[in-house]
Amino acid sequence: MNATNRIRLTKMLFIAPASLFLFLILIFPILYTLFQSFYNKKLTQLTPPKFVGFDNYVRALQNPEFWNSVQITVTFTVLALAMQTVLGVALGLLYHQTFKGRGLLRTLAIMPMAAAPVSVALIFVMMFNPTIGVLNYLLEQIGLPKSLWIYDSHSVVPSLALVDTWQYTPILMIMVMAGLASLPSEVFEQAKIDGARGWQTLWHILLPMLRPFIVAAVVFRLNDALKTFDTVYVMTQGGPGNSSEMLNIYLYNQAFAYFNTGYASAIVILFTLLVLLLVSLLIRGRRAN
Amino acid sequence: MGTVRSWKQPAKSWLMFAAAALISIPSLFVFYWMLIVSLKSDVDSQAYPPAFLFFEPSFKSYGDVLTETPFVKYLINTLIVSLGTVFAGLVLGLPAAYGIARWKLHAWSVGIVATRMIPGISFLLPWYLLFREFGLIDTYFGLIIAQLTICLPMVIWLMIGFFEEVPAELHDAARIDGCTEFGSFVRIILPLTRQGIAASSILSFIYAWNNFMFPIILAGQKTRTLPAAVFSAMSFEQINWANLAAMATLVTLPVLVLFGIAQKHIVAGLTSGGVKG
Amino acid sequence: MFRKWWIGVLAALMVLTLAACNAKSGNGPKETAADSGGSGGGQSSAQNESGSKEDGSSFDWKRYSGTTIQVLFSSHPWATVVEEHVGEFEQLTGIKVQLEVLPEQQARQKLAVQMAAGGQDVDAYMTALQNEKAIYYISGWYEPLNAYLDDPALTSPEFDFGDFSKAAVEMGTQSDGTIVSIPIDLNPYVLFYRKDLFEAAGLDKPKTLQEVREFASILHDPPNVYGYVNRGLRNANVTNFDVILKAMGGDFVGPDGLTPTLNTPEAVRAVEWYSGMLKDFGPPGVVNFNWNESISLFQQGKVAMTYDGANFASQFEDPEKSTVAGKVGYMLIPPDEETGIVNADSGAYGLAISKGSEKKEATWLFVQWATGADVMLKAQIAGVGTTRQSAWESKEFLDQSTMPPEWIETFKSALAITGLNLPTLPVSMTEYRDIVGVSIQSVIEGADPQRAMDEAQKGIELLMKGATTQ
Repeated sequence: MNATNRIRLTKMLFIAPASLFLFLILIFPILYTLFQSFYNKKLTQLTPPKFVGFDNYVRALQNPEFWNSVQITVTFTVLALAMQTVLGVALGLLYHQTFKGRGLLRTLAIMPMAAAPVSVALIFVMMFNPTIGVLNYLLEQIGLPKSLWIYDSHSVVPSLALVDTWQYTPILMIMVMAGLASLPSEVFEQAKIDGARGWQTLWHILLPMLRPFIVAAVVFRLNDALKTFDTVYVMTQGGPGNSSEMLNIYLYNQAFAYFNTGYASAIVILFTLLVLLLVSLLIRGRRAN
Repeated sequence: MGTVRSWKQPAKSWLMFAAAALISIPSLFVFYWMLIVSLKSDVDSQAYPPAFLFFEPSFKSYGDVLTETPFVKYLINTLIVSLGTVFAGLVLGLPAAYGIARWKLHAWSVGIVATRMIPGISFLLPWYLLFREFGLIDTYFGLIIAQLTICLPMVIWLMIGFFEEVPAELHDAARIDGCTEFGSFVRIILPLTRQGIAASSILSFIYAWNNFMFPIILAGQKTRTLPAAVFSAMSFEQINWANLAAMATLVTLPVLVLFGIAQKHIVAGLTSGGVKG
Repeated sequence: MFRKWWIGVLAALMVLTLAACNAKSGNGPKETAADSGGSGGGQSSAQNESGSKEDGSSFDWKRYSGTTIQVLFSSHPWATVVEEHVGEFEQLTGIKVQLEVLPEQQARQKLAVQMAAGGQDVDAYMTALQNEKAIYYISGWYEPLNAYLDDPALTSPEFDFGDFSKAAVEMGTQSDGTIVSIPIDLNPYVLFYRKDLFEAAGLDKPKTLQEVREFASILHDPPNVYGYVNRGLRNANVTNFDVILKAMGGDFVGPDGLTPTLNTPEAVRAVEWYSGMLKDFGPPGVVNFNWNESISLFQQGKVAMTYDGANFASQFEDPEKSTVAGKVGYMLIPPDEETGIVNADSGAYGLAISKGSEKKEATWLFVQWATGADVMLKAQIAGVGTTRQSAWESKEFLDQSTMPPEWIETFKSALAITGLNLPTLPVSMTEYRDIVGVSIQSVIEGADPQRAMDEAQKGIELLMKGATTQ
């Protein structure tokens, strides 16, 4: 075997196990879903399903409930990500400083990401109870108006975004810290010299340099946030009405509660395309700079 | 890549501390509440106004949870599956990430990460059909395979950044010394990225441990995991909040402990490795 | 290059396999020889290895010793009782039971997946009859039980099917007479009210729904006490709505049992009452309350009245769980003053055998045991409103029950008039409930009742046509 082929083989050997594994395990579900999306299959029917071409897709795209879910998913994601990014950057900067107690507090700050989403969701359901929940009690004590949290169609999505923020801000925080750590120290020296105008340094120089890290983190979270299921399912099941029916919840209902396997499969494909679209937009946006 | 430098004066240290402490209150409050409710009696757990500090503690909920559900069995199951996932993720993922970083095979990395864009729910039915054929339902192996689809891309994505940080000269130096590519990988590169490995292992573990959806369908009586068991506190006629909180605490505790021990490595790993994506 | 080649082949193979999958007879469970007639065609005719039934006197429990069966339960106090005692069954029969208990929705999801794979992985399962009765039947997921019940070789003489209340048996029987499930429990709707608050305000028991509204208004004193609470959450609210709908002379379907009648004047009146009560006298956030939020609030003493399944009351009387123990009154939900109809509809769980099961006879032994007088009595004592009359009349129950006599009397009266709290339709009842539930919810938030019910009617008409709206 000549040298080129040998190198090629070596490269393959490194990459092949993981790629092969993912391929094998995912190809069947992907093809199955793609395939089913062209049939009008229902899980509960006994007659063989009929081939319907793009009917399911058309039905989805013409369905206001589908678009409602898309809008809710995007709104939730934007809200959650906005909160997490701002908080994450702020915390990342904060914990980059040295101060007493930093280690302990930092550990406490990142703990939420280790908690089981389902457990967290249930605890929040308890805390969100408008009448006997502790959050409203606290609000009352401070003199702020009580909220209906997840029990009202207007406040449900922000409340869910809040839960997501609570849980995943640590990830953004850590990524920002990673970014700060890899920046050249001259930046900080400069700020020190500048003294009082240090904030300006921060804004104009530091943040742009941090951007690639922030974007990387946002992309990572974007992927997950769009597909949020566990917490929303446990907390609201898509209610009140349809006001928190994220795409994943809509999909789940179609597949497992309404047994519309064919239609649900089309939704999966559309969903995946949506995620792909949003993620590539974000990445392209970064490259443009 | 300079070293970490902070740029403020010592006088501000207390200010920082105060700010950090203040911000961490919301994070902690939820855990605190989880713990408090689990220690309350059923009646108190729903009382209003809720008691924050002064109430009669009761360990009944923990007693209930530990006796009514085979908690230890679930714990062991979850441990086996999570550790298995982490291990397999490293064995498969580290070489792949290295390969991609070393030989700049970006197309592969895009492809691998793209697999995470598909909603996992769609896998459940076809996997059930597939796994049945191979007798993988209700087996640890089956669960590990399923969870790898989440953890493996994540490990690869994270580690690519770390491997990219390793200067090319190191590879070449090792090769000149007579190491094979693989040898240099194992003996030289891996030890250098130790902290990145720690970081991705922990993250993998967390995701595997907390996975709820896959085990519902793919696990059975023998391999049931903890998150699915949390739901069992929600019975037909009542949601026993105290028990639920106890269950939630017990499920979260092991990960938190692990996390606490390893967090130094995670943070150090993620901050020194540089994750640029 | 060569990589791409075999990917193509693999993909082509997959496509062919999938096409074949779809072309086979849908996804109904495989037909096995043992299927026909259900009285164990092939297998049990290889009669008894060890017992004798020629004379029909001794029933052989150990006939299927050595088999293992898979059972899927939804979280339920009865399931807990079975779980606790399943060892006794295993000893009695030598059959090993792999029992899995999941919360209702997850159990349903898992069952669907298992049925899609042919139905052999589950042998017995709990079915929520109000939701599933029709659709599981037409999908071929239920094994008809008539032949088993009629066969003395398979059914122990102690089973006594006649012990089950008529209403319950009806719920487990299809309109064509096929018995698809042995009923386990009934949970009829009854009114819970705070005796102490009523007394303090000088109020008697409400005699009509209109009086319920009046009393709620009198007792409504936010934020200390709310006049009334009930389920607002879509899907969950539909079954509770059923009571009011029927009390006002309406129904979900017309006489043919299929045509939706959701926007009749009766239905509109009903939603005006149901949602109106919640809008006017409900606690904040009630629009998204499921049974647990409703019941919790009542339990914590924050509400004057509510109605839901009678079995929820077991927590009220437990001072460790509730602040209103001893203060709760029970009565049938009063009639509408115009129609005079009293309704006490109910949801019902049943135990069914999977049509795709390969161990049906052994499973039938399990079903008999789990719904047998002994286990059911234990469940009754544990607080389940079972379907066996013997359990209700038994001395042990009456002695050990911690529930007040008023509750027992009310429950019994409810059993006499109860029916299923949902129509029996060949569609996904979850989808049905989501559509109707949204309308009910919208009225709580202020929508016009007629318009809301028109929407529901339209939605269900589409659903029945087979084209789902969603």
